Amino acid sequence: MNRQLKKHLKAAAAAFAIACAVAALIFFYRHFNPADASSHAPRCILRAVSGYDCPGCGSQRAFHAMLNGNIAQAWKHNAFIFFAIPVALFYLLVESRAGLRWPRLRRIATHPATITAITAAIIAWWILRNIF
Amino acid sequence: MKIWIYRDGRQQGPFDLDKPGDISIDSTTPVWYEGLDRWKPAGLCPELKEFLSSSANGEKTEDSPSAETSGQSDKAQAPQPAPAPASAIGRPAPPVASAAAPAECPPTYIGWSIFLTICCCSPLSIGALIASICVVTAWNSGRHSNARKASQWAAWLIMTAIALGFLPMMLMGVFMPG
Repeated sequence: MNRQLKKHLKAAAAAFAIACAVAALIFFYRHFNPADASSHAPRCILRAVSGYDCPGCGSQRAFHAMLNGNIAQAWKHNAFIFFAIPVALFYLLVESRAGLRWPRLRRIATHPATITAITAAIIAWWILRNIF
Repeated sequence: MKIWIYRDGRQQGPFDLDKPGDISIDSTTPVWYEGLDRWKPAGLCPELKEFLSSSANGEKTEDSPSAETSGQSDKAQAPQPAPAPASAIGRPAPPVASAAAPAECPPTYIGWSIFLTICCCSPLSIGALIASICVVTAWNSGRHSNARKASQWAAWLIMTAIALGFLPMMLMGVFMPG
């Protein structure tokens, strides 16, 4: 009983911490434009070094646009996150303990061909966005 | 794979077959693992054939008396497995429950890899994705220890990506904006 209570408390604390972090991120990206130097937003090292966009470049600007209701602008900054975030959340769910409830879905999602396709899509996006 | 062995007059285990250093068995040692209906001499288990031959090469000193006369001791110790099931027949029950868990494929951390791609840590996260392909491929072909190793690789690549990509990005944003 006591152990279970502890477990629940731990889970609640973790959930609270995650909720706070997400709220802080939403607040930051809604109110500060990452394109402004004064926002002190993180900057992509790959881009600073090579000059090329990486697959994630523009995602901060896209979040800023999205949180201010400008979906079209967000799509222009980084279209990839519209695909990547749902897929990433899906995998975090499928690979968690909750995912054990859908063994078939899990098997399809973690099939080597599926992961290869995702990896190929990321690399293709990386190359194409630097060409066009 | 987890196995239990009967040695020195008592049940021992579970041992992980992927860590052969911990296990000292020869072909006559009674063993049990999930899938067996009763204790059996290790020499009669097809799954342990590879393990027995590899450990016989590597560490012959371990159980030298039985290694020398394995043909004889097979017969000499034949009655010995019998008491084992009698005293331990009830015991494999808890192992069944705990042995069911390792039958899961180790985590591939794909979700984390994709998140890191968005965070401009793409080269390492693509490495992690390739590691997760190895996890599933190895697991599906039965090489479970390789799958676990690849899973650890994926986890390490993701942590390295955070350390080498994400943190410097933050610092750069703070100290060298624009």
